Amino acid sequence: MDWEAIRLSLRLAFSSTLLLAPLGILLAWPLAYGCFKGRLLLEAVTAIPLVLPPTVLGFYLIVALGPHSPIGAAWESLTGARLVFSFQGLLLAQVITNLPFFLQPLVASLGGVDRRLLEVASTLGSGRAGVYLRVALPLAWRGLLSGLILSFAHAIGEFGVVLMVGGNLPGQTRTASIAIFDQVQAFDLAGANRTAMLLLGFALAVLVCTAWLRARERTWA
Amino acid sequence: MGLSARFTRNFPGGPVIEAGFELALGSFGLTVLFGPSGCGKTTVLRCLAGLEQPDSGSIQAGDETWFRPGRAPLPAARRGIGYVFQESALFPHLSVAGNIGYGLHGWPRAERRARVAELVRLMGLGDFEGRRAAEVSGGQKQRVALARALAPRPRLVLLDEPFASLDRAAADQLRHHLRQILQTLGVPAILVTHDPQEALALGDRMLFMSQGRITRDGTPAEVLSATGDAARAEMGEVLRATVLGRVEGLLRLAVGRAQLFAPDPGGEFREAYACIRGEGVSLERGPHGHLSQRNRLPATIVGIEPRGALCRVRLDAGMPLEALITTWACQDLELAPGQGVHALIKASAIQVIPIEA
Repeated sequence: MDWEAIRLSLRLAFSSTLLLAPLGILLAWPLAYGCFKGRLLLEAVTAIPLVLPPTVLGFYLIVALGPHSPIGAAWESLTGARLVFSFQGLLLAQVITNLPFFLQPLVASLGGVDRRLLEVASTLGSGRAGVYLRVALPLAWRGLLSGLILSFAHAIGEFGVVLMVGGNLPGQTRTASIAIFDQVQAFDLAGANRTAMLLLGFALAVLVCTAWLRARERTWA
Repeated sequence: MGLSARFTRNFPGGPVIEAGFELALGSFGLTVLFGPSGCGKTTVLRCLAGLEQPDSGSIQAGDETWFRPGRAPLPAARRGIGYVFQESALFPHLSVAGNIGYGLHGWPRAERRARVAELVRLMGLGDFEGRRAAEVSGGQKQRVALARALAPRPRLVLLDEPFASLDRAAADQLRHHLRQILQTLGVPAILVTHDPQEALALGDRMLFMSQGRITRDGTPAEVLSATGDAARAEMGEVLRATVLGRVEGLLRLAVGRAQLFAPDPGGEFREAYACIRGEGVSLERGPHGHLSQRNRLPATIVGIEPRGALCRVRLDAGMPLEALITTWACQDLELAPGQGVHALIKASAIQVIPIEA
């Protein structure tokens, strides 16, 4: 078993979920309750990673994060290192790729919160941020938790984008799913099977968890 | 300081809601916004609260502009209004005390605690403070909702049919309590209702709304007496009465220059409304026989309006009164305006609505 790859996968998934949560919480408000012109566009843009082939997404991320791009160039002048084929570049790619897995359940849960509760909160002196953080988000906690679990799980299993943006550098960008690919290429089927079984068990546990949360999600009395 | 509201709200393909009234802020007064379901009462309330915006007009509270076209409306959060929904809409993730204290965010902790404790005591919620919203009964939920709305010391409380979702006993209890509490705290309130009894029992002033417009403004008895709609048909003649005493389970009431016996609804009160429907009044000419009616009043016929097989006879019996009798009886008794008759009213046909002190 390639423990180094598994450790890296876990580190990557934890870090990307940690970065993605505040960004997602910020974006979920306009997606759930916003009444502005670009809402549908925002909805489509944030959902793109769900339908785009990982290679296409990976390709554009390489273009966007590469040394000749403004982001890549700024990073390089700041740190002296390249963003693509590095852990940090991979982390950024993971945040973008996994954002919809966090947003979808959260936005659905927020949509299920009784509007009157939000209205009452506003008459009691809460501004938009107060209404969101003190009422909407606590009531949509199951969606929030589902989003965290799903985006974490997807980050563990992501393959295409990781390969495109991160390559295959042991200890830096070689994650568990890349390791399986390598093991199969090297005809180490037993090794591939062990890592694959671990990921399979993990995926199953995650899905059971989210299904349980969804089953218990009911409108608050 | 006063609130001045003159605005319209349009709904595509629906009615236009028009509101125009002034209201004193700063001291207690209960204004009832009364009218049939769907006439736009809730829309008026929501526009005042800032939960939706009018399409034209203005809302002004003292020097503060809440709404004026072309300017950003003052957000609901800054209007200093307490709002109580038909169903309590308590925050289910908070305890009863948490709900009451919600609007006290930013208050020093000690003051917040003291204010929550004060409202818990005032609303009689002592035993439920720590419970979750889902764990208390309907009547208690509405008490919590009211306490929550009152806690941040609002300038005005808006009550959108707060008793509609309650069973009768719970509604009666809260109705009795509501006026007392608002009076104690000195907060003016607007109560939306389509129940004439509720309006009579609670209101100091009534705004009558019909088909999206406020058409009458006065005391509840005046407004109800002046409207010719279903509410009036349901209540009959609404007359202010003073309790003179209690005799064998009946109330002796002074109404205008007349005295009436009516069933006692119970409870301590000195002032009430006596509601007498025309169907409960019959007329008599000539000598007095032995009758079961307790109320026999000398009266003069003011006018007679034929209504198909029935006649509406308007009377002056020391108080305005109306009798609904058959045209046949009218002809039989040879009734005519100016004539003297006796009006006979069954005690059981008089509905007494105590006025909450």
